[in-house]
Amino acid sequence: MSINISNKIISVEDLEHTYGSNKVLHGINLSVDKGKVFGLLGKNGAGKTTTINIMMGFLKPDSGRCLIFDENSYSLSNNTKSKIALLHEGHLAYDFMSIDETEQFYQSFYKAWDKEIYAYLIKKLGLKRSHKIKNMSCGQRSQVTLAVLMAQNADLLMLDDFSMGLDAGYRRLFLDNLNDYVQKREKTVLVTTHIVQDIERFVDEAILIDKGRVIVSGKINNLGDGLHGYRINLDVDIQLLNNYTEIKDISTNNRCYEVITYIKPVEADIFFSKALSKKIDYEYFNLTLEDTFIALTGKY
Amino acid sequence: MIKSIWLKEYIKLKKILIILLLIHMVVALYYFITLRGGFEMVTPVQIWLDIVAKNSIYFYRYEVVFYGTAIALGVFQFLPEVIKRCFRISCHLPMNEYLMTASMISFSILFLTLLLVIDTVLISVVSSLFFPYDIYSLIPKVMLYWYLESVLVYMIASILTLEPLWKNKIKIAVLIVGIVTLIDVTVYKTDIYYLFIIMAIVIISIPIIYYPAIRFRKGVM
Repeated sequence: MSINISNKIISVEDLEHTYGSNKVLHGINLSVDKGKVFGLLGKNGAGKTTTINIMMGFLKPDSGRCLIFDENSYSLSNNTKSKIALLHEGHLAYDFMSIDETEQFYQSFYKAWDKEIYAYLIKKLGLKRSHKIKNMSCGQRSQVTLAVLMAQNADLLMLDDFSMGLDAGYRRLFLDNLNDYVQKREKTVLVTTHIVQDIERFVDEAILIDKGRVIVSGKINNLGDGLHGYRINLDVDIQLLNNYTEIKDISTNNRCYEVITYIKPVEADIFFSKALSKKIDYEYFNLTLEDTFIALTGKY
Repeated sequence: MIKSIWLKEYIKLKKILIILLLIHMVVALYYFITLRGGFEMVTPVQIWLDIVAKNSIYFYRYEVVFYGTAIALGVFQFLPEVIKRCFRISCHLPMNEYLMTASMISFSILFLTLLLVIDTVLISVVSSLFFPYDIYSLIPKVMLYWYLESVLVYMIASILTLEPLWKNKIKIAVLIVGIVTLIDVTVYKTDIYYLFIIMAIVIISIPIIYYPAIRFRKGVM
């Protein structure tokens, strides 16, 4: 007798969805294993929100299926809902509640409510427990949100656009706290954000979607496999490079051009000499996740 | 869990509930002062005969107060849920979505019931000071009719607030206006027949809230 124990927490297969005559998802596939931190990346309008809404059970797909803990995401049981800590469009806490009322409300729904971690994160705010959430700054609200998310002690955390309205410091604080929590408690996380560089240090695996299709998926460090970055001085005319399909992106900063391409370093000399009809100086640089993101999806 | 939803609704509506309660108290006080003034100027028998002859309800302003209360409850209860799509968060709580929605509605209906009891007692006490039993004994029935109508108005306000699509809001509003026009009566509303009709309509209207609620939760935007 064999026992099939699935390690998959989220399983999405051939997801398709259309709004009116506009097809926004063209067969999305992804799976998230237990204990992994997974990033769902894509530009605005790529189909990211539709995908996450389907995963959260807020939308029924036209075809395909989405299973969370082996249950259809569109009709989750109460037991499964209690295993998912959900942050939807950056919102979690009801802003008409105070810090204390928020805890009082949520802990009645979650048996494994962790009072200590809630108290720990709230204490850092230095606010009275009677302080209303609507009277807090975005950063302070995010801290309460994080406290509620963590205190639920759920097996899966689904964080949709956690960075909404947060400045760099609070985004870093949010992720640092979350990272520590997730690692220690072996939680599974699905995260989406429009600020790609934030999650580079946080996620294990990611999927990049564009125009409703999966562009690339895999371990976060491997998403940019095959892509290389070269810095070229601003005084070089590089307009001709735009004619080459191997060139995925050319960006400019105040010091140089940054060219992202599939051309390997060993072939770069020959390529640039041929393309620009002269020998140029360039410098190789390591791509960030944002560079990869831009190269694969474009700027527009 | 129902208690927790009620707690949430109480926190959300606390200020509104206090204001509404005060308005109802003020209306009772208004009737007390008005009646006392009226009875000082005219003989009681004249006023009593006038009421009986015209079949008029001297505390008729309560009808409008009840409707206003119902509209305020429906709007202020569901608008904060709609604006930031918090209703979806509520639906994700580990609780049956239908039960969660029913708990929200029951909170406001219970509040309206509390107001019915308070208003009926207050106006009965005030009336008992100035009117014979035959006149003020009609108060509970009339108030019950207005209460049932106010529950219906509350349901309509809630449905319209929660409905995600403007096109549907208009359609529902037109439909409701049509139905209400058909059933609206201007006679002295103490006939048991009318009470049963309005009670039936209220019972039918309650499950309609699930139409916008579930569509809102399931992403009809």
